[in-house]
Amino acid sequence: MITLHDGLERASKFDELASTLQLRRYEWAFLLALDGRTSAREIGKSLGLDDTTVLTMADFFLEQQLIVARSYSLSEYTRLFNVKNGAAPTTASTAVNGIGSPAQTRTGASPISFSLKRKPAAASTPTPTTGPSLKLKPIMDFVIRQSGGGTTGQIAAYRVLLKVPRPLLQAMKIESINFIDDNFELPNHEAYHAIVDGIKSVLNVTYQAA
Amino acid sequence: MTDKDLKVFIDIICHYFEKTTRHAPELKEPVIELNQFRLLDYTGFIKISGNNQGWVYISMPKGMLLDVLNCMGESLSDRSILLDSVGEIVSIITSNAREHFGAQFQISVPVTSAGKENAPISHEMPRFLLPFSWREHQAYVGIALLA
Amino acid sequence: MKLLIVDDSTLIRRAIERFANKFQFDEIRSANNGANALKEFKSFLPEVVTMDITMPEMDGLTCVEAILREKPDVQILVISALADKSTAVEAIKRGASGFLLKPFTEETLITSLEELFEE
Repeated sequence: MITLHDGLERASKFDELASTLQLRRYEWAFLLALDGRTSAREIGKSLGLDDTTVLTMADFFLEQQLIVARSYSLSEYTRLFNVKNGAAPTTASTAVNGIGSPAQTRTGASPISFSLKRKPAAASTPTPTTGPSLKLKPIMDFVIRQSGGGTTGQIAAYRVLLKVPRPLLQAMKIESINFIDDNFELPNHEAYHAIVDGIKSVLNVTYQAA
Repeated sequence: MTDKDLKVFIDIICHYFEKTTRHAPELKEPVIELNQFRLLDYTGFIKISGNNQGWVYISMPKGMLLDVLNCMGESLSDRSILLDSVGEIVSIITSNAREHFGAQFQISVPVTSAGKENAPISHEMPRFLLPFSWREHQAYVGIALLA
Repeated sequence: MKLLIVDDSTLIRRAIERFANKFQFDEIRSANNGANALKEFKSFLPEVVTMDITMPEMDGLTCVEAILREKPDVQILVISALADKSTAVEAIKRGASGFLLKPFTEETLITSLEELFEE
């Protein structure tokens, strides 16, 4: 998943496919503006694009393997963004705008402590080596039951799934939660915990496997 | 999205078809769709911004669109009028929803697609589908709202 | 009497044209956005205009104002699917003579046009 705060760059596949691509004007402008450092949001802003358009477009390009999210070593990060260890970035308008802004950084915290929070839903619960059943149906049945069943339950299930990072949803490789087999299992514990976190966030209840 | 929001869309879909074709649609059990898009022959998408963000779309088979046009007295049946019509239908359904969602429910001009190509939404975003039947046809409205 | 139909949808432009035939307009023309409508208006100078709101290039409400600056006595019926009351109020504030909500039928369009002529 890409966030608005990611610095993006064109993938090697972009150079291979560039001559065959048919894109809209603003999509080319976005792709050609990527420098690996400026955040997706900032590039979008400079092109007059709103956040939803930027995310939708970036997700699509990611899926087509035309772009990648840039990751940094600690030394690269501190050098590129002019951050001293233990301090917030000197300018809030760098590529980590929003992540590293002083208002969101705890006093004295290492800059790494916030850069690691990029995927809170997936990372907030530790992944056990052995854990609960990964069967999806009982979890979704729980959501539907907890919210009163019927259409209300379906809406609650939808809202829970919106909380799950998209790569984890993709990894489930299912087309609909309504037609899953009783024995269908989530691909990993990360997906399980993301759904459980989603349930907590949407329904304010803790899921406990039967 | 809440029950009330969903009911608004259901009522508007029913009202639209009843008023323009004099045939009421029948709503089916909603479906949550992930990953692969199931788009029918013609689809109209509306991007939502403002307080709610996301997309609303309607996907219909060609035969249904032709029947709808016929009910409305339209004699054209080429690809261009079918794309225009599916865009106008989703635009009307979504715009009517502003009575419930308010002026901050901002609506774009429609984007249309024939078949499975050119869907402007990322298929990674879960969609809430409202399948319905109208006369002998099956179609659906998809709602992908983040709020 | 002449009618200018402004809507970005071919389906709607053709439907209005069919339904409005009852009034035996001398000539009916159409435009698919506000900018084209303004150009067409200046050469065509119709007495009646039907105007959509959500259109590319120039939206309908801006176009209503621009048309009224050209010819203040023109009757403009705004036809939109935007169902919140503030949109209808805004259309009237900008000088539209009437507001019709989409989807419309032949009967509701005829009634709205008749009300326009009564005024």
